[in-house]
Amino acid sequence: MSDNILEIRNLTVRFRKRAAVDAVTVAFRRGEAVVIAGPNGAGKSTFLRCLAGAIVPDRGRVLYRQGLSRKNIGFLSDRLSLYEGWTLEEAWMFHRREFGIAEPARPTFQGIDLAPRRRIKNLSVGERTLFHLSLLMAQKPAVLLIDEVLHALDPYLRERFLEAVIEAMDEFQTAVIMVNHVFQETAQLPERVMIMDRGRFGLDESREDLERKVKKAAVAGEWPAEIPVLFETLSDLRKERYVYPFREEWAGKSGLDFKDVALGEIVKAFIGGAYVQKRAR
Amino acid sequence: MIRISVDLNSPLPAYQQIIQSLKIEILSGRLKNGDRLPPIRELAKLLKLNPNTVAKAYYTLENEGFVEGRPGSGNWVNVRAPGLNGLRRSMLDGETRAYLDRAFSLGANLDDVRNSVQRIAAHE
Amino acid sequence: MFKKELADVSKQTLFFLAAVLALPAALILLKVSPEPYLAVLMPVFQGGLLFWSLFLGASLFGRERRERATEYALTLPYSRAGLLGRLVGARAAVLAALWILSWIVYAGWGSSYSAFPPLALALFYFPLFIISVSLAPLIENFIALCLVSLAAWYVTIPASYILTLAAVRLKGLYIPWEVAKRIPLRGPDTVPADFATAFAVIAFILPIIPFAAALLLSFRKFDIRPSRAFVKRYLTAFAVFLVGAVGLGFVAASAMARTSAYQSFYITSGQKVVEFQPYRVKIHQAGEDIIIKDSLSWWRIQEVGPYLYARDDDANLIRLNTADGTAKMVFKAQKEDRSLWQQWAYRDKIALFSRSASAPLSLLSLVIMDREAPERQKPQIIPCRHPFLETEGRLAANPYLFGTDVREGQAFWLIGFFGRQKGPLRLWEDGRVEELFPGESCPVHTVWFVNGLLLRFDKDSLKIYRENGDGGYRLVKSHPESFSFSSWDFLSRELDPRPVRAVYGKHGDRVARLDLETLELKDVAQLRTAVGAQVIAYFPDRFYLVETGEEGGSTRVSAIGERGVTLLREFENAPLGKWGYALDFQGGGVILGRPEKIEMYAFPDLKELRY
Repeated sequence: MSDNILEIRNLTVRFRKRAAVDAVTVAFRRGEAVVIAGPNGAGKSTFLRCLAGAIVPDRGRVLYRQGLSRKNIGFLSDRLSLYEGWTLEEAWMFHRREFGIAEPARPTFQGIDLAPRRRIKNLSVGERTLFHLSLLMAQKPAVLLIDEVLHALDPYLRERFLEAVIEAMDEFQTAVIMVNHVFQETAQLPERVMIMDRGRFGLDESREDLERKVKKAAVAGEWPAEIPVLFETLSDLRKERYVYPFREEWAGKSGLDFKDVALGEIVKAFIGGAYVQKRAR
Repeated sequence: MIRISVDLNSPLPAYQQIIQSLKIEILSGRLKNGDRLPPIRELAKLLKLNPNTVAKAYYTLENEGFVEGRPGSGNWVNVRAPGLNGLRRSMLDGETRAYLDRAFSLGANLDDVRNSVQRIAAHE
Repeated sequence: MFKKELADVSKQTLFFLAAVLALPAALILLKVSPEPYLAVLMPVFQGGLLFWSLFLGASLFGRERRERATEYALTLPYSRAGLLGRLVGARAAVLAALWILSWIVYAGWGSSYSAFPPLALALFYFPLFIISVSLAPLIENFIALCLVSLAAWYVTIPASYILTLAAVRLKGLYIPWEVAKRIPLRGPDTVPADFATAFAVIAFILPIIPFAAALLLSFRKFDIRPSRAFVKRYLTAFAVFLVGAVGLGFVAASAMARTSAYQSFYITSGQKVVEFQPYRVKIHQAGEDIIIKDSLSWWRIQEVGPYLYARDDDANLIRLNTADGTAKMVFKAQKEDRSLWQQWAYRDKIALFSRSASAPLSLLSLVIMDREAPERQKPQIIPCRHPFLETEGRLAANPYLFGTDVREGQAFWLIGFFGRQKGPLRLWEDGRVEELFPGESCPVHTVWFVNGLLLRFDKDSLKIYRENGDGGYRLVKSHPESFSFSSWDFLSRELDPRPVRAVYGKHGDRVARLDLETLELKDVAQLRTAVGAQVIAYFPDRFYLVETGEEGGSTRVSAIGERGVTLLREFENAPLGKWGYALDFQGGGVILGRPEKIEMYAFPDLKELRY
């Protein structure tokens, strides 16, 4: 409780009649690394915007604890919102002044040399993302809110991005809350996995627990009724079923060979299950 | 250079893999007493791991008596000698167990295994 | 953030000023405007201020929206209030600087080029700024925002003006639609000055309140999505404060409309109190007050018998019967008659000047009508042609009548002038005009016609003239010291009273009696102080002395007659000459106006009159 740095209580955000975020209550601790995944349109970006203050919730509150303030929250939105007409130098000076950053020099990334005279609107998406990240890093943020920006980066920039985030995690004890679907390089970063669907968190577990509780097995013959199926692959060539929550005593039952599932696949299974449920309704 | 890698598809948790890799480095002598382990941050960045994961590995190594952590300056290899031999033996046993499992699944017996070992070892 | 906003807005404003400076030159070069540069610059600058204040307000989030930085701005380390304050504050600062600039411009060249005074101008553009600022978060599209702001501003000001009038009306005052269409602030007489100021405040400032309040109360809910919560809060606050502002305006206008200045009251000879309110006339009397729904002016009214002659807003001459409240139009004026708001009664006639009664139009002429039944006879119209009266087809000076008589079967009228000092004229019935004192000029109200004599007051002499046998007047007596009196209403008294034996006046530091047969002057009383003393004449035979003492600030009114000077009443705490205090002599008594109330006293003994 006292370790919480962000508390969200009963958060509700409505777009027209629909609730994009639906009475969400959750808390994040100092230094925690969280990934938020979910189907498109689940409300993840909206949720993040509430945490950053870009959106004022219709109900509920976002509480900043332990001296957290906007000054030490870094928000990397998928809109990469900045004053586009400015040069990098101007944007840096402005950001510095507004956020009370003492250092005169902007943090840079290895091998990425952005000329200060270039204008933001002339940067490529990858350059702009990294630039924006550099601004946030200078804040020495206690919380980093990262929306879905990784997939747009080329592999080199992606690596630089992740290195920067990891550095912040170690140096500033930054809590990183990231909306992400691409787990290839990032699977090991989060300690906590949250999956959002239709404005609510359907899943909120530690990665270790999740990796233990999700297994898959190829379907062969009779499937025991008591083993819950999270999701079944759609291919006829390979029929696999994902099981959650898995119990140790089911290993080997009915000849089923349960295998471990990597995080990316776990998330895919959950999302797939959500989509299937939606269609079934 | 440190040979540490983490296989994401392995059922072994990442921090365990780091511990294994480091133990191998120490056993092989590539990491000697008094050598400094890579800083947590650098290793995390290299392997794209959560720094806590690396920290946990170092902490476990410290508890098992292979590493000494000095607050503010990092982690240093400091093995208590009996520990090394015991480690070597237990790791070797582990490798052997795994090898024998695979060998027997091919349908070989213990004599076939012994012959194969001698034959290959003679060539090395 | 503030510094950045200020820099941005200042830079834009410099471009604006450059355009303002360049545009008149362009207009002149293109031959659209013929005047000198400064004359074109003035309206361009003032009109430009209006346009710029709209732009400043509407562009509140202009840069953020254009450069897709809205989300970034909203996540800066400020509360919504802090953000709003910085954005609006920078713009308000620049607007204030422009206002100061408009002061400088006005002080330098305003009078020569008929510029709006800066305060009046600001009353127009400042509300526009507030309105557009308030609507800026609601409307994304810049053009739409400008149009809606303009429309809102254009609607609210006349609306609040109508509200003011409605409040005035609810106090029982009638607003004819034509008057409501015109601005009723014509002439300082018709409406007390504080009413005009209050009106300006109500019309221009009150509409800002709902816009400002709605923005301030709802902005904390503003975010990047089109949020229903924000719009709902805005509209709710707007509605609440609109009702509040309307109520406040209503109450304020009602309160203002209640007070009439002392000038608006008239005590008739029958001691009825007539109150001229902006849109109606009220005759106070025991029982039910009579209310006449017409907008009459208390300026220069004429009392004859039971009738009051007064002008309405169109300068028509209206005869009011104070006994039953009936009103009748006696003379229909045209727009050329607007400045000639007087009339004089004598015998069975009533006379006035007009510039529309004879051809060519705008020629000044004297119009004489039958008083009892003006509709039964055609008025007598005498054109007045004389350089004193008209120069190049325009009225040279405002004339007034101060005497009339008949010589050898022909009537004549004596004409004096306001403003420029000119000699008085005599106008004959056949249209001849002659100067009474050829080559000499007389200040206004310094020549009197009594008993066929002309009394001419100078600051160091009294000259008496008698008519020559062959026309013209000759000096028959001159007294070497100043002698003067005022009529109770200089210009509306009867022009040909019956003959009197004597008149009284102030003679230096004494009161003196001028015998009109011997033409001798005899002192009858000593004044305590010469300054602040005045003799008021009610022709033909009532004279009063008014003394404003310097000590204690009291005022004494005494009657002057054959038996000398008798004190009628002493008014305590009435330092005439100090702002807010005035003593007004009227047909049936005097009105003492104090800043906080108006007191009325009736002749003959100045007993207090309750009404």
